Amino acid sequence: MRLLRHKKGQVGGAESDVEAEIGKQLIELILAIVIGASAIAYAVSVGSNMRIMEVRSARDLALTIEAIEGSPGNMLFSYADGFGFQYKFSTNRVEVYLGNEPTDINSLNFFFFPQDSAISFIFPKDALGPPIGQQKTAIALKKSYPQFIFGASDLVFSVSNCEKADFKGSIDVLVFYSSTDDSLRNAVNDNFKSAVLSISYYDNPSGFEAAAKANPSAIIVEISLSQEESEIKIFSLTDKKANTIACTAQNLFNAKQVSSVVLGTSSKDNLNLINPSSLKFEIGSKADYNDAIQTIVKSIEAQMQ
Amino acid sequence: MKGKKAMNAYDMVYWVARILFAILLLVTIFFLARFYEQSQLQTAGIEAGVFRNYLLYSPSGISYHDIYTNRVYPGVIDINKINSQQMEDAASFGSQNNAIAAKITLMDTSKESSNNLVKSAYYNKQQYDNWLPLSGAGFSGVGTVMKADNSSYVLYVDDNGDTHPGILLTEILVPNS
Repeated sequence: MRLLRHKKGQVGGAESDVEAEIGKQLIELILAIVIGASAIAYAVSVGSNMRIMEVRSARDLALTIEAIEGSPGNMLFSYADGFGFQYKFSTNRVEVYLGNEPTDINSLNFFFFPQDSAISFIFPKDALGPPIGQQKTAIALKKSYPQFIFGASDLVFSVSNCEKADFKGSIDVLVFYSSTDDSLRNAVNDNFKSAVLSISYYDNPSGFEAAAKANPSAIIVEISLSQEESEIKIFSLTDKKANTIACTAQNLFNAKQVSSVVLGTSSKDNLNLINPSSLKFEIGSKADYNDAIQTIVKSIEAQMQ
Repeated sequence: MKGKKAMNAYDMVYWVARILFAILLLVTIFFLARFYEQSQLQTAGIEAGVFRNYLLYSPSGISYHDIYTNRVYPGVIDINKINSQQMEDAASFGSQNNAIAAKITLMDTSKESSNNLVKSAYYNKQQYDNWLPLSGAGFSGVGTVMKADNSSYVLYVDDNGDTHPGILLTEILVPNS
């Protein structure tokens, strides 16, 4: 009997040990699930946090404003984003927020230095945001000394004032692109097409330079695409064709909300060609290449009508 | 009985190690997420570059500016514009400037190095003095200050309108945030 009790006790102890062990394992499992779930939730919240994008947009825009303000000449800049943010400008800061009303909690701001006595800043009264039903916002920044105007995408730069070039007969367009990225080169090939233009492509600087010098009346388009910076320059060697095309292109850029900046008249191009009239566009993002290239084709075609 | 207590003690040690490991895991995930989050927002270098370009290229900066043609002559410094008031007025962040501070020094390259200082001025001097010790080598991260030094060959216009060759040193401090 004693032995039996002892054995029973032993059996009972083993059962409670097993139960305790299962309990520990359950707690461990639950803790592991909680830790895993919270880690995933945190990673997702960081990844999808629009707050980061708000901070980046506010800084980006403030630094852009300072850079434009510090440029020695006049400049037009079209700043586009696809986040659906609202942008509000006040005396020396830009506020970025998502939603209808800014508050101290949900808006992020970054300061710039507009209290420059030599230039007057003209801000819109209300915040600038995407049109109803759209996600993309385009903010036009125009520095035309002594004014710096912040406006919506409908801010008119020179929409109806583009001079008409006197194009006669067919137009030769010489396109030079420098890129080692095949996808970017394909984007140029796919988009720079026109039924009415005679387009030649070059990726060799010496061949392009020789062709340009042999055909001084041609429109020359130089496209530099890379992951770091992207520029499109339009110029011609003989007359004002390039300016008229660039003017039309800028209007279309604004209308299409392509993020771009007119860098102004360039005195010297990379290929050492003399270019009496030229304008240089810097394209904002990779996604805008196709739009930009198609826009330039349309601009040239528009000048032919 | 002693065996059971020993087992419990062993279990405790075992659990402490596991909990510490779990905490370490959580902290690592948090740290990595924060690191990638923060690394996207370090704009101090760009801010310093933009500020320097602003001083050099803006009509309100320190470059010579023809008021009749409104043309700025980048690279030609007007020594009368190298003063704190001029720079504070040109790039104002309001009454409390916690964004940027700078020291501008112009030296004449045609003179001996012992006597070539032409003029120097501070922008936001109070914060410059406060931040300078925080900009030393070895400090990094939020709360410290980035110092961007730059020198460029310039011409400067003196009071008589004569130009001289010089070197412009800019020491710009921007807090890391």
